[in-house]
Amino acid sequence: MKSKKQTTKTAFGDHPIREKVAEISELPRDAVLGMPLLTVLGQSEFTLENYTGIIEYTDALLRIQVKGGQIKVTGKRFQVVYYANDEMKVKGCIHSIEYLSSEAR
Amino acid sequence: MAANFFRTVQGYLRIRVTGYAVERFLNACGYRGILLWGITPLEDACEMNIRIADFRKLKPVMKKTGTRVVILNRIGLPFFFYRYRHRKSFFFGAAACAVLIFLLSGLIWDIDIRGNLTYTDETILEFLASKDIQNGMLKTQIDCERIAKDIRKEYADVIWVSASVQGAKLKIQVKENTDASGMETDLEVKKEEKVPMDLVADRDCVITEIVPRTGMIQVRPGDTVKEGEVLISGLIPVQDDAKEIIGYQYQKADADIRGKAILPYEDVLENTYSRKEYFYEERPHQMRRRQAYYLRVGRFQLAFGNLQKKEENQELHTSEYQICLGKRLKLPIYLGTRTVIPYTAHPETYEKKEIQERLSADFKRYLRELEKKGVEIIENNVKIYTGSKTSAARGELTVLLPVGTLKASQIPEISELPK
Repeated sequence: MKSKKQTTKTAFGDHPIREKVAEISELPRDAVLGMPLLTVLGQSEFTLENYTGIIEYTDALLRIQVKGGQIKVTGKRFQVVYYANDEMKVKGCIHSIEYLSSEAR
Repeated sequence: MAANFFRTVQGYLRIRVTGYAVERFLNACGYRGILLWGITPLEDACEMNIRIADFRKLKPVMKKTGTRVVILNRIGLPFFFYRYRHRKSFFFGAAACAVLIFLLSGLIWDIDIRGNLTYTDETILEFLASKDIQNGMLKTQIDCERIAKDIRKEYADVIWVSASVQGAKLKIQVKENTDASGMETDLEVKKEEKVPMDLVADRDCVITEIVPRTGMIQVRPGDTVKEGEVLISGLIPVQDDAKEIIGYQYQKADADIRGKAILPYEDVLENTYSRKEYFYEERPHQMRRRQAYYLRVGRFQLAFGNLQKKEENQELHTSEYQICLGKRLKLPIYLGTRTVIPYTAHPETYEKKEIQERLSADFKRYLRELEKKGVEIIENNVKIYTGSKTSAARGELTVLLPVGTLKASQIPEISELPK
């Protein structure tokens, strides 16, 4: 049975105990909390780590499931350079990057 | 770049995935550790690259996600080898090439010498060749320390040597002692002191001037000497208190000696000559010629083109180019051109004025050559004689010229020593 406190932590990084542990142990937060790590190079390329899977993929839209929500990238001429279990790299013209939490959806 | 190379070596496939949820296929592949790259979305499908080994794991993924996979292209070495598996000679050639490169890269193909100022590359190469260090030898046979030691030992004024093998090149760097050039000569003198050298007359002449430096003077100004006569002796007698010669000091005789000599001069010129008339093409306006090329390997020659004699008189010009690997490794392969220029010969006679001009020009050239050698002309009795068939400039020149050439001294036996 889930407690009340647990049901409310849905947004990115909203996990006070783990955050505290990460802070005290000085370990990287993306590794401890499993938070997505997004590296964007200009408007033409991004690399994403710690994702769960691709929800939607067209040449103008990319929706990626991450822990605690989704990342929605819009643009044009998207091409996944490589796609592995832990990391993906996408090239194309990026127009916007949106974070959609489970609550907002 | 490196990843692409390894993928090509391992081989990969370009596939098209169609079905209701291609994204699920991608996720399932990611979950199973299957690497995908170059993923391009299409209207209701997706194209991507996948490794051969991973392709074999796709069956359960396809079943689970309800997708279909079509192979579009096979890329990489395994497919290349399979496609050309019947071309055995090609693979044999490629393997032979690899083996040859491997074997030949174990040899020295060039010797690079740097830093040498007074010794030429050729001198040092010759010395190295005498120590069996030359192009084409095995790299494993090279002892760099030994080379450095040998060079330092041979050349006294080389103060630093470094020998190293870089790839297929033997790099030798030297540093010469440019400041103490006198030191080298001293050493040379010490070496040569053991052998006494006389200065002897190289022609019959009358001595006019002597400026001695080393040795015992044997002649005086005004003396007439014959060819081979000793002018300065390299044996300096050592006398005891009773003025008796008890031994000799060995020296290399050195002096500036000038002598008066008579040089005969004769230059004969035929009155007739053959004038060559070449043939010219009208368009383009150039000399008529025929050319042929050839390739020569050792004694064997392969000619391209025919140069059969068509005209009675013709000039044959040959130029050859030797093929070199690198700077110094000369291969016994030559590329050459032979050019035949036909002409007609017309017998002509020189006019008297022309004869004089030609003979005078030759004589002036001869005088210039003498002056370059330090010869001073005192008297000139050369005259031009014109005959019916030949003409000649004949006569004698009285000159002042440097005399003396080095020759090993004859060392007298102990018994010959005057008592």
